Formats: sequence, structure tokens, C-alpha cells
Amino acid sequence: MSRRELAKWVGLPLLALLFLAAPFIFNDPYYQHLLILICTWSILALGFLLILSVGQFTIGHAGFMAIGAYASALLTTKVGVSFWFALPLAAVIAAIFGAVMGWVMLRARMGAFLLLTLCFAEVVRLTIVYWPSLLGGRAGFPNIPRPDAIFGMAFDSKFPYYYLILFLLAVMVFVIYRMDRSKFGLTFKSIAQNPPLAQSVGVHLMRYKILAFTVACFFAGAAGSFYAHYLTFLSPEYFTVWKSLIVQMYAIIGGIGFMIAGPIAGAAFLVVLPELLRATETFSFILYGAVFILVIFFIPGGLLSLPQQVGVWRQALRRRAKIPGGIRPWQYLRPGS
Amino acid sequence: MKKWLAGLLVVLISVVLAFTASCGPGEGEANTYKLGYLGPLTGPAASWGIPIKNGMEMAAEEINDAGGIVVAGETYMLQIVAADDRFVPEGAVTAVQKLIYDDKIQYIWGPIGSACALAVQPITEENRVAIFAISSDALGPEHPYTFSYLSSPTARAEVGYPWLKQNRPEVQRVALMAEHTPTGEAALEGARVGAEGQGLEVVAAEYFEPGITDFAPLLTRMLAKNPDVIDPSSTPAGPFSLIVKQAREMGYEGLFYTSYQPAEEVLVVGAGAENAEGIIAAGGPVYPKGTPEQQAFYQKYIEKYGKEVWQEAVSLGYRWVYWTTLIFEQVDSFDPDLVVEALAESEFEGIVATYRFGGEETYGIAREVEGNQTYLNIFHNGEWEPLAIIPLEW
Amino acid sequence: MDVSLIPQVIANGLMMGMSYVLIASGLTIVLGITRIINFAHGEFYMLGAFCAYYFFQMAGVPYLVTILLAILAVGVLGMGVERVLFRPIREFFLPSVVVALGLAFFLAGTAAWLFGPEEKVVTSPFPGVLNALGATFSVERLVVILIAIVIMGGLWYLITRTKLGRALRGVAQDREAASLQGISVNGMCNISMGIGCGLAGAAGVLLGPIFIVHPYLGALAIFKALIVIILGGIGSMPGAVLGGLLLGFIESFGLTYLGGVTDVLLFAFIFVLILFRPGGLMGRVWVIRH
Repeated sequence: MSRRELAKWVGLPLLALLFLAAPFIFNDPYYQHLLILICTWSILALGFLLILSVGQFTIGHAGFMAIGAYASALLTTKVGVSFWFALPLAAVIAAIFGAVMGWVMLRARMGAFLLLTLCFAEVVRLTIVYWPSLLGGRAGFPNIPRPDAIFGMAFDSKFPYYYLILFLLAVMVFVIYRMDRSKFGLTFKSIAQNPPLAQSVGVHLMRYKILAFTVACFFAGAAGSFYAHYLTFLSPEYFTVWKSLIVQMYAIIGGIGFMIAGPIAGAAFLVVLPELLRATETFSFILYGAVFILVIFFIPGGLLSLPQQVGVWRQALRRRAKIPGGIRPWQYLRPGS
Repeated sequence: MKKWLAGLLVVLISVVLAFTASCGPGEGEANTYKLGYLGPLTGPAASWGIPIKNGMEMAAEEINDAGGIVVAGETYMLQIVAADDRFVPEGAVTAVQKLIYDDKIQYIWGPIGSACALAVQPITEENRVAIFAISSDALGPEHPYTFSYLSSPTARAEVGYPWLKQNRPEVQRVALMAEHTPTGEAALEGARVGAEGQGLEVVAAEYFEPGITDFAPLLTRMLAKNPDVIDPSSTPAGPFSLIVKQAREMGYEGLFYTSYQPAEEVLVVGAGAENAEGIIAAGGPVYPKGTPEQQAFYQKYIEKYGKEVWQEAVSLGYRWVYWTTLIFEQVDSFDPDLVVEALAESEFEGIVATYRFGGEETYGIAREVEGNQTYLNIFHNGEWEPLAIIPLEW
Repeated sequence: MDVSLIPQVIANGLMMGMSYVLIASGLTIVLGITRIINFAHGEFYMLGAFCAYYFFQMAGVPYLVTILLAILAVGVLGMGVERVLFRPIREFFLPSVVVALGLAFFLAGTAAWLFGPEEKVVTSPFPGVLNALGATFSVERLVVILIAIVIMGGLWYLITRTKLGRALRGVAQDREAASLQGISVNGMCNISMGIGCGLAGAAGVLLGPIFIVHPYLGALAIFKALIVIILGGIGSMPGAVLGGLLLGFIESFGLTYLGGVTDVLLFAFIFVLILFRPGGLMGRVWVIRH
């Protein structure tokens, strides 16, 4: 069996088993909560990376999560729709916003796009803050109902929630995987690498950019809806620009060269890290910041490039040569490779 | 590309290992009872949270030195477990789960603020965990395990007016201002009721966004109405000092009354001792000049933790530990249902006042702390001086 | 709408505006020359404010001297940070974002550890008010405006009239051309960081007595600074001035007459602005190489 086949037939199922069994391995609801958070933020981080793969850098992804979250909350509380309809509906609503805003914003260059997404996200958040009669404002939106029982499983413990968000994550991973493998994927990569060339061979840039953006927003909305019904309480503080920035960190620190695994690994690492740092209290900020810096400097390709990085180090030691300026393998990694 | 697979597995496994290694159930003494603190320890509100936690630890230490508590025939030493929420609702949600599921805690002081309190409520109520939050918005008969350690902003705001009417007859026109938050609104309306109830005229009532530091526009409008007293209702110390300073700079010579007594240093440095002269505040006692117990408490705290970390709020944490453990011993159990019932009907004599839980008319359930007296203090020569003790209606 | 308030509102707008100009100008210099968004810029501002507390408030150093000391101390720190942290990753956008954010956490945490998390207040060095033109101006804020103008004036002189300034501008405009002319890009980036952080430090000292001082000031400061340079155009000094003043006035008018909704309208306005004029008011488009 070749190594590739080994990976495919043993590695992947092993990984899947790990994810499926996780809440049983960590039987404490606190750890299960962290698992749920990891999955939720993975969806956002994947979305960020998807958008990055068409050459744009968004700083407002949390805004679309907010749209999905509040839409779902309103649908279930004010309109009386069941969660199982509200979730896809909210995702679609977020996707529509994504398509429209994408059409408006994606024509801009990377620098301007970044600023536009920031403004949009803040407009969304501030609309929530200053519309307390409908959306609860700063005081929050309470009493969001839990999902109705499905397949005989009631949502009174963390298990069903975990499998639900895991399912959403799996769907997103599958969609991204298929997109990547299809002609869309090739197009995305060509757009990212050389937009003018891509355009010159007849690629409709905007169409593909909007597609990627819409997909990312769809899942962000779905994650938002999930989040609303998991916490049963929403606050505009959940969807700040700061949160969007932190989610990007997950993707970057996980490794942007790894389109699917990177954000998930990054999310796992960076959700768990502050919890481990609880014991340090006042030092937690210092250590958190230091970890960011250390990872970028020593494992610049992201956590998942550690095996390669170790190889580079071994080579350097063997040659006992000082590589001028340091090691920067991210130059050789493009999103999606 | 199978290297990423190896990498992912490595990351996940190290995460698993790191986690299980560090988060084993903290087995201390076999008979330790844990109480929780949920609030800011880092981030902007840390300066409120840390003194309260210190107060809790001071009380726990005293109780342990005296032999601990005895419940159902067993002796327990108290341990305070603190979890940082960074003053954001999401932080509170994660932190409370650690306290409840990992540390198995049933009684938590905190969180501070309605946003955090409402966010954690679904989890605490479901697990019959009693929380004692600084929030009035979280109370209600459908949340029997939620208490408020914030005395009603409305009641606090009202308190000074009868005294003012009696002792400062020249005060006729009242200007009210408050932060545009639920607490601020409750306080402003309470002040209005208090003032009008004494026959005083409310000539201005304005809200401002929390966080602004430039009150000139608002004060311009207000001073045009010639008030005799300005009541910034529930504004915290920092902005309050700025209000005082800016109003004085604009020529205001009248009185200031506040129901949230600001710390001396903040007032002196922020407003200037001269500008702050004569401010009347309702709040806790001036500990260094109070009763012998109050003075001893104050001395002990600053010796242990330092003067910079002193706040009136220290007594909140201190009192909570004593009161709650008293009830444990009274009902001889840690069971939340028994304890909550007993707490709601108990009275506690602290060094500042006697306390109980009230608020049925407002919330439908008695969960809001009430003291039987409050203190009026006046700012003189850069320090707070006791002015009067006001008994409160129970 | 109460027209009598207008002089006051304008006065406030000017005061807040100059404050924003001070904070944002440092950020825009660093961004324009090194092309790094220094998310930790707010933390340098915070350190300046602590300089005001420890030098002026606690040690009694004269106020103007404190300003110079802060510029020096924070500027040198900034240069050190640039040399160690930013230079290696300067060419790479995404890593620079992570490093800058990490630095922000690191500095805020260190400040909280060293100085304590409590709020500290700095007495105003210029108490009193001035009544003129139907409005009340606080002397302190007038002095802030004055000193800010002096600092900006000195900066303008530096950038437009000195050789150093020419070199800085050269690097900002076209790195290859600049280095072909013998200008050390590394050196200019380092100096620009020193200047930018020094400005942030000065802003901290000037605004310290007006706002409360605590280790977590940075987050709000960087946010406002970002808005200003978005408005004004990245890397543009006149843009920073224009953007800062504009923001100050919008906030002053908005908060007085409209209340909190101003924020929503502000971002909506900026959104539309960037859409039609991606370079902000001064038209400096921001190109990110990744």
C-alpha cells in the first residue's frame, strides 16, 4: 500500500473516528463545550481561508455569522418556525447578504476590500446594538429555544449539539473539497496566483469570487444559527471585528497552506490555549501574545507545517549553515496546495 | 499531501494530552469545599473584579483559620476558585462551564454586568447553580437560583433626597444625568422619583453614551437651566470625576449628589480636590473613619493586598463568603434548593449594615440584596467624611 | 436642533479631532513606509500615557519634558520592536498581522503585570476654562491642540524639508527606486517606526490627563486610529489630519444631536466612501502584496 493510500484509507478514517468519539473521550461538559467551540470557529476560519483563496482578505466575517444568528433567533421566537427550518433559512439569508455584499465589495482591491468588510461588519453589529426593540441591543437577545428533538434525540445535553455542529463542519469541508477538486478549484487558484492572466483567458473573476464568498457566508450563517440556539442567548459582543480577527488567527496559525485542515487545527489549538493559560491569570495575555509571535517565527507555515519545518531544521543543522534571514516556507505554500 | 494528515493528528493529539495533563480534577484536601468567583481578572474591568476576589479570599482564610465550616457532620476548608471572564459574555459562558463542570462548583459570586449574567443564566439555572451577580436584569421567578448583589439602582438613587430636602433647603432644582444603559435608566428614574417625591423640581434629565469623556455639550444644556444640584445617578468614578471637573470649569457652583460613591484618589486626581469639595455621595461607610470593625477590616485588607487594590466593593466578596457559609451551616447542607430558600429568607449582620434579600414587588421574587441602612458621606479636603447614616425602609 | 450649541459642538469636534490626529498620524506613517498594520499601535499610545503617570504624576517631571521623554522612550521601544519582530516578516502580510496582534496582547499583558490593572488618573497640568465666542473651552484641551499642532508642524517640516524626510517619502512611494538610489530601506523602516511610535507616545502623554490611564487603553485607540486612516487614506499625513478632524466633528455633532446612532451612520458613510474612493479622502490606494 502506498503512503498516499495509507493516508486515505487509514489516516482519514482514524481522524473521523477521533472526531466522532471526541465527546465520549472527553466526558466532561466543559470539554465538550470547548469541542463545540472548536467546530464552530473552524467553520468561520474555513470561510476566511476560502475567501483568501480567491485573493481577498476579509476582516468582517463575524458580521455574516451575526446575520445568521439573529435571523434564526427571530424566526424561531417571533415567527414560530422550528429550528430545523430556521437553520437552513438563516444560512440562506446570510448567503443572500453575502452574494449581494460580495457583488458590491469584491470588485475592490484587497486593501479596500478589507476596509469595506470591516465597515459592513460594524454596521451589522451596531444595527443590533441600536435596535433593542427587535434585536435586544446591548442587553442581549434571551430565551432562544433549543432545537426540537430529532431522531428521538432531545437537545438536553451537549452530545446532540456537538454532532450537529460536527455535521455542519463536515458538510462545509466536503463542499470545499469538491470545489477545490473541481474546475472551480483550479479557477480559484489561478485567480489567486495571477488575476490578470486568469482574466485574459476568459475567466469571469467576479463570478468565482462571489461564489466563494457566498459559500463562506452561507456556512457562517449556519454556524451563527447553531450558536444562537446553543447558547440560547445572543449578544452583539459576540460578533465584533476583534472576533473576526481572532478567527483569522486560527487559519493563519493553523497554516494557510492547508486549506481544510489548517483552520481546524488552528481553531483547536487557539481555543484550548487560553483555557490552559487560565492558571496563569495575569500572565495569560502575555503568554497568548508570545505564542502568536513564536509560532510565526519558528513555524511560519503554521502548526500543520511542523513536520516539514522539523525537516528544514534538521537539514540546517546537518549543514550547520545559517540560513540568512530565517526560514520562510510560506513563500512556497499557496492556499489550496 | 499526507503530511498534513500527520500534522493534524499530531496537533490534535498534543492538544488532547496537554489538556488531560493539566486539567485533572484538582484534588486538594479531601474535605475542601469550593466556592466560585466569575468575573473580570484581566481586561478593562479587572480593577473592579480583583478587589472583590481578594475580599472573598480574605474571608475564606479567616474562616479556615477558625477551623472551617461544619456541614452534615463533616468539617470543610473553603477554597475560592476564580475564573476570568474578561468582562465579555462569551468569556463568561466558557468560564462558568469550567467552574460548574470541571470544578463542580455550586455557588458562584458574579458575573459583573447584565450582559455576562444573562449569558450564563441558561447554564446556571439548568444546573441549579446559584449565582450572585451584579445585575438587576437577570432576576425573576423563572430564575430562582439567580441573586443580585447590586442593591437596586432605583433605591440607591432615591436615598439622598429626603436628607437633602431636610438639610439643604436651598436645593430646589435638580438636574439628572445617567449612562444610557439599563442600570443608568433605572437609576435616573429612581432619582426622579426621589426628587419629585420631596417636592423638588427636576429641570433636566439626560442620558449619555457610556464611554464618552467630553460632557461639555450636555453640561452646557444643563447649566442653562440653573440647577442647584447635579445628580449623575449611577455614573462610575472615572466619568463622574470628569463631569465634576468640567462642570466646575464651566462655572457651576452648585451641589453634586451621587449614589455611586467614587474612590477618593480618582476624585482628587480626576476632578481636583477643590472642585470636588462638598460632593455628597450615598454608599458604604468611610472605612478608615468608621466603626472599630470597619477600621480593622480596612487595615487588614490594605496590609494584605495594598492600598491601590482597595475598593468599597471588597466588602461585597467578603460578606458573600460569610453569609453563604452561614446558611450552609444553618441548613446543614450544600443542597442548592435548601440553601437558596434559606438565603432568601435570611438576614445577615455585616460590619456595614444588616442585609436581606428583597425585591418581590419589582421582580416577583426576593433575590435582590437590601441593606437596612446606607451611608451619606461628604467630600472634604480631599477625603470622604461621614455625614449621616440613613436607615432604609424594609 | 438647538442652534445655540453649535459653537460648543465645533469646539468639541476640534478638540476630539486633534486627539485622533495625534493617534492616527503615527499609525499612518508606519503603515505607509513599512506597509505593516501595527495592531499594537494602541499599546504604544498606552505606554505613553503611563509615561505621563510615572514621570509627570509620580516623579514630578515637568510636563513638557515628560512629552519629550515619552517620545524618546516609546520611540526607541518601537525601533527595537521593528528590528526584532517586524523586519523579518515585513514582506509577508498575513504573518505581520498575526505578529502585530500578538505584540498587542503581549504589551497589554506586560503593562498590566508591571503597572497593575487599576485605572490611574493623571492630574491636569493646565486646569481652568476659557470662555470665548459663546463656547467654553477647557484650557487643557486647547493646550493639547496647540502642542499637537506644533508636533504635526515639526513632523511636516521633517518630512517635506529634510533629507531624511525625502528618504522616507521615497521609500513610501517606491521601494526599489529608493534602494537603487542608495537609501537603506531597512533603516527607513526602522526610523519610521521610531517616529510613529514616538508620536503615539506623545499622544498618550497629552491625552492621559483627559482620559483615564489603564493597561487596556490600546484596543479602543487602535480602533479609532484605523477609522481615521481609512477615512484619510493609508499612508497619507494630510489624510490623517483630515480624517482625524472629520471623525472628531462627526462624532461631536452626531453624539450631541443624534445619539448613539451616529456610529452606524459613520460606518455606512465610510463604506460608501471607500466604495467610490478606495484611497480615502486623499486618494491613497492601499496595495497589499501577499
